[in-house]
Amino acid sequence: MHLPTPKLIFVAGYLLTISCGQEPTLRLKLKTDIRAKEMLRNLHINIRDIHIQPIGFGLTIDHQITPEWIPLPPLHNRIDAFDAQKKAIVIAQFQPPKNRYQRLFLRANRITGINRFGDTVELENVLEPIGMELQITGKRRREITLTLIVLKGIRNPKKLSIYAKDIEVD
Amino acid sequence: MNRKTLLLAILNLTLSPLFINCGATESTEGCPQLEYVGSGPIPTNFTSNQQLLSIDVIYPAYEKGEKFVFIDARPPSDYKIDHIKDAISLPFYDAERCAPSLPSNAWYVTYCACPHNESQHAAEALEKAGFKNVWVLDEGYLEWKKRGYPITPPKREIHENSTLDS
Repeated sequence: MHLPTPKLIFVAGYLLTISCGQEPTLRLKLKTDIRAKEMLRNLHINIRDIHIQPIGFGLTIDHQITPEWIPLPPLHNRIDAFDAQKKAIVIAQFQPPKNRYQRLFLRANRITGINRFGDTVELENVLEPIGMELQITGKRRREITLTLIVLKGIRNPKKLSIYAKDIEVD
Repeated sequence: MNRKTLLLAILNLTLSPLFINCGATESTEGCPQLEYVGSGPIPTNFTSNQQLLSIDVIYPAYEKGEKFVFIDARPPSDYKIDHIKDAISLPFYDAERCAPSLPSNAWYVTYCACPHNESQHAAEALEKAGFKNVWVLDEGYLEWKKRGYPITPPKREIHENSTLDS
């Protein structure tokens, strides 16, 4: 089939627009900062769910997911935290509704640490919603990098806890 | 001054900068500047033997302008959205590193939204560094907001189906 050049340009432009529109506009990456390396040989995080909260809503004291939170389907259920320390891992790609968002909440249902002797290490799960400034317009792809941190207790250095440390929005 | 003494002096001047920082710990770069919530007397009601102190004790001292420092121990992105008016941002994971940049004889109250996991970590880091007067806002930041106490920026309109403040 032979198409005249203007028609070809139009079809190409149309296809480009369609394909761009279908691309996920939000990509979420995960990084870790493990400050207790000598106590851990392996650390795996089982992701329960990930949500973002539109602007203008509050938090409950017990950090419940209330109806306005929008779920981001995770790409992986289990993350190797040591891998995520070397390089940020993409954990969700999604096209949320056009809006402004103010918080991200990654919940873990299990955090498994193993020490150099092969024994299980207990970690306190202190993951909670973290603030951010994110606007989804649909025109521009956005990337968020969430950093989790593993810290030793100050009074009890044998106690390890995992927290949401920081968030970068490109 | 003989030649030997002169050589030793030059050697000393040359090498001494290399040893000046030998005992130094981590850098305090990026650590917050001290800012008191008030210029009045030091708090007289912070008498609990426990590290956790109730908002009902802390808020009256804040309102009267007593001289203490509010430390927001949450991540900086949370502080940026809103925080207790006149609080400084010192994230829990930086408290140990930044302690040397703050006066150990001042009075401090740390807070977070957990309601007190991050704030307690920060308080313990300051205590480890020799600070004597460090307290933790027991009920946390969300209770402070819920009560309508001063925050920066001022409280915004909330959605009807919001469970709490925004």
